[in-house]
This record gives sequence, C-alpha cells and structure tokens, in this order.
Amino acid sequence: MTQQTKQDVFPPTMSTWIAQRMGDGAEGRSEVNRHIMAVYDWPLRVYFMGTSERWLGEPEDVVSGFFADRLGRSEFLHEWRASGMRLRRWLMNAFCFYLMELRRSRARDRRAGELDREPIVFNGSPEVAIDRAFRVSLVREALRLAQETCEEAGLAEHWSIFVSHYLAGRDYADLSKEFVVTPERAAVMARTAARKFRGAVRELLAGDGTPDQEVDQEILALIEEPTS
Amino acid sequence: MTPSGQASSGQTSHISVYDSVGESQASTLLRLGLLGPRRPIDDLADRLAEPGAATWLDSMLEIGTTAAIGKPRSVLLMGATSIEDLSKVKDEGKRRYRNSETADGRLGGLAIYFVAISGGLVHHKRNICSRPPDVLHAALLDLAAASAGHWSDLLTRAAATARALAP
Repeated sequence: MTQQTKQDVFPPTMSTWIAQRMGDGAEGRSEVNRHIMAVYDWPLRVYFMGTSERWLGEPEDVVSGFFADRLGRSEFLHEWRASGMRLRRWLMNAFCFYLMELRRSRARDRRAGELDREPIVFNGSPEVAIDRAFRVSLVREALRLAQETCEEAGLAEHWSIFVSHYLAGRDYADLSKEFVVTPERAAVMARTAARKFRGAVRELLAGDGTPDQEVDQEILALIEEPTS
Repeated sequence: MTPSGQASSGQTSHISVYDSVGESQASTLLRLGLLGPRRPIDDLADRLAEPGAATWLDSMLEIGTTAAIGKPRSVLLMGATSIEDLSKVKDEGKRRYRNSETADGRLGGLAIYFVAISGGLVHHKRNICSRPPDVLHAALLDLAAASAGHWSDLLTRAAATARALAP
C-alpha cells in the first residue's frame, strides 16, 4: 500500500483512477481488481443465479473463478476502456463467455461437445437483473467509501448522524439529544456527510464508464424500476 | 486505502448496516447522488466545500461588509449590528451577485447576501429577504453543511430561526 492520501488516490474521476492504477504495474492492477470485485461481485452472482447453469458450482466460487481468470489478463480492462461500454455490461458479457467455457470444460467429462454451441439461458432480462443488483452493490460500496472519507476528514460524527437519519430513519430532533447538538446542527452534519456520499456515488458511476455529464441520467435510469 | 480496499481499523460500526441495504433503500439512497437542476446556492455550496474556501469566504465578506457599511466582516456575527446595516450588507451582496463579471465574484455576492440574512435571523429574529422562511431554512442548511467554523455556525442558527418563523 502506498502512502498516498485519499485525495491522491481519488482523483477527478474513478475512471481516471482506474486508468492511472492500471498503468502502475502489478500493485496498481491489484488495487483496480479489488475495487472491481467489491462493486461487481454481487451483480455477477445474481446474474449467475438467474441462469440455467447453476449446476456449474456455487455462485461465489464461479464468480471468484471468473475474476481470477479475466482480471488476470492484462488486456482485459484495456479492452473494456476501448469498448465504451458500461463496465457492468462488459463484465456481464465476459462472464457469459466464461460460463460457456466453464460448461464446455465440465462437460468434457460427461457429454463432450453437446453443449458447446448452446447459449446461456437466463430467466428474465439479464440486463435488468444486473442493473438491480448493481444499484444495491453501488450504494453499499458508496456508503463504505463515504464513511472512510468522512472519518479521514474528522467527520465521523457527521457520518454517524447521516447513517442514523438516512438508513435507520431517525429524525433530527431525536438525534440532537443523542449527539448533544441542535436539530439544525444535526441536519447540517448529515448534509455534510451526504455530500461525501453523493461524491462517492458519482465516482463509482464514473468508474463504471458513465461520462460526467450523464451521471444524473444514469442514476435516474437505475432508480426507475426497469421492466423486463 | 484504495477506493474499494479493506476498511480502515476505525471503519467497523456501520458495515453490517450497509450489507442489509436492499433494493428499495438503495433507490432512496441513490437519489442522494443526484445533482439535479442546479440552483445558484448549489454552486455556492460547492465553492464553500473547496480547499481554501474559508479564506475565500472571509475575504468576500470583508470586502462586501466594508463596502456596504464601512465596518469589518466580524460585525455580521455581533448582535449589536443593526437590522439596517445588515440590510445594507445584504443589498451589497445582491448587487455583487447581479453585477460581478466573474463567477467567483457572483458567488461572493451570494455568500454576502446569505450571511447578512443569517445575521438578521440570528440577531434580530427577522427575515430581511423576500424568500419564505421554509425555503430559506433549506437553503441555509445546505450552505451551512458546506461551510466551516463560525460562518457555518451562524448559518445553522439562522436556519433554526427560519424554521421557527415558518408558518
């Protein structure tokens, strides 16, 4: 781990960070891979659980195998960046190919060749399933990142009020007693933390490949319940 | 620490709560990520959250207050400052917001405007602008959240007064 500060490792956009770290050798790529696994592990597990290929193994094992295989390839993320696709879509497509490879490999022991050309069948819309899972995974990761940012900035109490208000549903009058501040001060502290959370959400979407000017649109698309 | 690395040693108390966030709550929280249609105070809040903003704000308030009433910015924090003087500072802020040729100058004008209004609310329990108290309440909370030190405290206390004045 380097001695960089949060601002150093969290430059203007997450996609910039990914690009920079990808050029930093094995250590940089390892960091990028950890970031990708933190955000995309759950969406890919959900995708796997919706396919007809559940027999291939436990979701966590299959997804871990996918990450180990594809993220170990130096060209994998360069190809994604060149594609212009959202990372979640790129990973879903790659995962689909990986499942076909895995199926072929497993089938050799039993029914060699039979399944080679059959597509992966998904129950419902894979894009919708991935987006729903990505929405949850994105928010969870943004919460972790924003907490870290707040703690590093000496705003741990601000973050606790944010969590108590927005996640636990407690009102500011109630929180003002616990934190010994006025209700307005509690609201201000939560808003300060909310700004950090907003920044984290937008960074993660930038890292998924959303251009800055389209982040609001992307958020609204993720929030609106998609139809299959 | 990486953007997705392991939590720091102090980052433990909320983790299990995050893992329990489901689809519905994720949608609600994701809305917080929206910038939405930009209001002028959003630009000011972003400016106030930048590094060095405290110095910038002090400078803007000093210039505006001195230009309006010939006194230093510190009078904005004092109860002895008259409502007339606060109104003059507010008008100076409005003038700078409208007439400044630079974005920074306009934001400075807006800062002067809201701090003067806050002085009126905190020191005299009066709303010296035409904005309804409930609208003022939300705006002042947003600005207080982005600023620091005694100006944040003034804006926060002003928000409390605005809430009390709301019908």
